[in-house]
Amino acid sequence: MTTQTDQATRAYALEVPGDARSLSLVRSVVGHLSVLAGFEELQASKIEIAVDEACSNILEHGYGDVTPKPPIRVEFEVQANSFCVRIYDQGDPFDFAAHAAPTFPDHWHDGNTRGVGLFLIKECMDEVSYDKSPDQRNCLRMVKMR
Amino acid sequence: MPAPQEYVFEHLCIRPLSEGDVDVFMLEGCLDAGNLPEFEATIMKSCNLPGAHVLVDCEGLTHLSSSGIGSFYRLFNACRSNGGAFSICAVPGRIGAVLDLVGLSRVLKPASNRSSAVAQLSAPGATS
Repeated sequence: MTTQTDQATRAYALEVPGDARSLSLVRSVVGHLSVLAGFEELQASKIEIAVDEACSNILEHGYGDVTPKPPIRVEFEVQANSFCVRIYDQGDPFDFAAHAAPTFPDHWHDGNTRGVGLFLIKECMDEVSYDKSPDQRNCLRMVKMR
Repeated sequence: MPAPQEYVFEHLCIRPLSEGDVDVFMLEGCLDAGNLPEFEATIMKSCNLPGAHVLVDCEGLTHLSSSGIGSFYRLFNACRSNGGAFSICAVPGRIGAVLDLVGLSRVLKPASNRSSAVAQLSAPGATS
């Protein structure tokens, strides 16, 4: 984990193996950082959920059956009024713009048991966007305002 | 062969016990993509038995991912398909809030504690 500090922004980065066993570690780091950033427990848990869902989606959908799966890089930027997370992966991109929020509980009654992750990400964070980084990795950017 | 006293997976421990005709599984730890296959396979064995009444006690659950939420619904459906009933109980507040958000509380109707969940599942004619 790397740390960079200036007067206005604190930045951290974490790179983990592309393995579901990394999820617990990522959640733990996110939880600690968001509490350190001054978020109350409920808000911190929402950030934790969003990051967990994003990493899970990369492993399941972005990397799919690739073996071994490439790493996932998570960058955090703590500012006075916001907590920004950028998650980078090297998997198949997804059509972020095409995502439609499921309708509950119909989603379940229709027999779906997946497709909830991005909905939770959007519910838990204040801003969510998806793009290519300059080095052509996928980048999911999420911001929680204080 | 007697059932094991507990199943230990990556960041998750499952303790099975029987209360009357209800198979109870107490969770301790987190339920995420890292341990989901093992979790679901363990509980599904009971859900696939005809007329089984299955309860997952979430009091010790620290994190539930969307994959775990989907698994709860598959277990619920399996019990229902086999003429049984599935329920969850003692869901911690922040996890309950997520279940509310995705509408699953309305489907699973979590009980506040294990004894009331067991009473509901043991009631005559209890099905999902």
